Amino acid sequence: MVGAKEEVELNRLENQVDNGGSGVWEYLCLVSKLKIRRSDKVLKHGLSILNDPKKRSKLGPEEWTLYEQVAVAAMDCQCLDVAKDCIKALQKKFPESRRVGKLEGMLLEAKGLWEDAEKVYSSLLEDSPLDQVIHKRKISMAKAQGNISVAIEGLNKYLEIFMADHDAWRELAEIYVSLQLYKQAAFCYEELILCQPTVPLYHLAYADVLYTLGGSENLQIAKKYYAATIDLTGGKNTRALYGICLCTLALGQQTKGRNKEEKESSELHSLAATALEKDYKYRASDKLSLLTATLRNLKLQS
Amino acid sequence: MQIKVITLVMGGELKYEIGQNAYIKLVLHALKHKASAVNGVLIGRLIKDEVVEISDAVPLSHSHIGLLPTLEIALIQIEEHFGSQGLSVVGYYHANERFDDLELGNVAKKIGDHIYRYFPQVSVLLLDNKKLESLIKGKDRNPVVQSTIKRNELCFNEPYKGPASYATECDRLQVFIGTVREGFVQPLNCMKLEELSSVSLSLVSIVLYSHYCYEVSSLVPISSCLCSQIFCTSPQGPDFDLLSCTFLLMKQLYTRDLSKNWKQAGSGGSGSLTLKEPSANIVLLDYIVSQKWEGVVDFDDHLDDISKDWLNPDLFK
Repeated sequence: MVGAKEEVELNRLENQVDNGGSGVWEYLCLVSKLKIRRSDKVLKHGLSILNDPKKRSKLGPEEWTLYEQVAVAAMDCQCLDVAKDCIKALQKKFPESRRVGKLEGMLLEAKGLWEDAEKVYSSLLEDSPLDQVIHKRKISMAKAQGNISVAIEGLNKYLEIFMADHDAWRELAEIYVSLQLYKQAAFCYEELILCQPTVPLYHLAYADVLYTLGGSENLQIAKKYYAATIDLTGGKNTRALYGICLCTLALGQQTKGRNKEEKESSELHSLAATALEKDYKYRASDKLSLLTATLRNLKLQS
Repeated sequence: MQIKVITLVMGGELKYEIGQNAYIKLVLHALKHKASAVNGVLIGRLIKDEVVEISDAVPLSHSHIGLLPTLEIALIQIEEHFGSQGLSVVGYYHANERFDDLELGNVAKKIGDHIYRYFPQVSVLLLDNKKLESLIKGKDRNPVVQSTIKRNELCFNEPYKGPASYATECDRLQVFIGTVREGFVQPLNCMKLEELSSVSLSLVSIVLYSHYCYEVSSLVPISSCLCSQIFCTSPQGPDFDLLSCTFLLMKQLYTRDLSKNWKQAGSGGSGSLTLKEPSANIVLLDYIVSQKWEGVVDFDDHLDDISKDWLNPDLFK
């Protein structure tokens, strides 16, 4: 998950380096920090540094981190020879390293040699049973092979021990959503909101899941979380604004005739609608008529 | 009393034709988000009850595909925009997250079911990654998608050995309408045949094997009506019981969960998909090489930044 500001900076740098400009190392560091998957770019630009001995020596000890980053990117792009070379270089420098061992396992995964990879990971875990990264690799392998139920089981076991791992909670939530297990997904987002209550995207995802689940209680709560998202993002989150409108419509269909609810919700609804209209007028004026029709649609039926 | 092979098929020899822009857009959308599932809707219209012409595609999401808010807002705006041009949502496309996953998942079927309510001839396309890979490696003229349509297919091959009392429970005969799928049939010896033709529905072929063969041949072209009542007074005796038993069974089967009825369309037969422009794959290859996918905007992108246009007006310029 990347905030808007960081994404702008990332795209700016990416554009710059794609067009032959400087800042390659900054770009690669930012990708690594934000944990974004742009493997083809990382491979291309990372190799441009690694293949140039002068540029490589300028990095100093960071050279090895770059080897690791490029190895993973190469595996993602199925350039297994490049990955192998990077791993070899790392093996030479760090002979008994577990971190390099993980890369070896990943290379086996990339080749589709699941059982061999499993062996590598199991032996690494024997030496260090609480290695989070290796545990997650095993879960990823299950998912890659399509054993989703094994992956879910693995993730749940993992989270019993490492319950502060936000990425794991998010992954589990996304898997549940893809299987339409919305209640379980909601639970994951609840955990995330408890851990990091100021991250608006968890509130938003939670609201989306509750809306999908439906039922007046869930819709009421969804509306509250859309409102929380709007609060946390200074009213700039389009999805949350739309979410308010959708919830109001759905609730209206469920609670016909309860005047009090209608009054309260229609105020919030109009505020959201107005905010959307203002934003579209300013930034997407060609779509304003579609927005107006949508809002009309959502109001008429409630 | 035995009933063998009764196959009733809805939707006849409908062909699906996908235009270059729609086809390329959906593949590029999938290529832009290689590490996740993507989906989108197909826009077009039904021509003369014979061909579904898919002229455009609107990419929808590349994350949280199983959640409703984006889908609902997008569908309202898409219908609003394309409705004014006389077009509507005629299909749905999906690309799975994993390379070798060729299964049409439940989320895709659910969305397909939703579109089916408004457009029964909906086609669901699933991207076939292996075909796409072989396209990139060498040239191929066939579309890299697998097409699925909804068939209200009731097919049972087991002999029915139920009690004759079923016949008495059935006072009205309800028949499902479609075209015959296997074999040609002889005309029915049915008294109400003239009435059938005046209802302008296409007919089902019911083949009952017993002492007698009763067959109803296809009389008129397909319409979208699901079923009609045929009062059939066939010759008396055990054959009538046979007919009514069969019909009762079919009624029971019909109320089964229809999401089970997404069937992959074979090539050439009903529901088959063809590329409108035969050179579409060549153009697609060209776009892939020039990494044109970077310019694809889906509804998710629009919701993150409303200045991005999900209509992708400049993609092919």
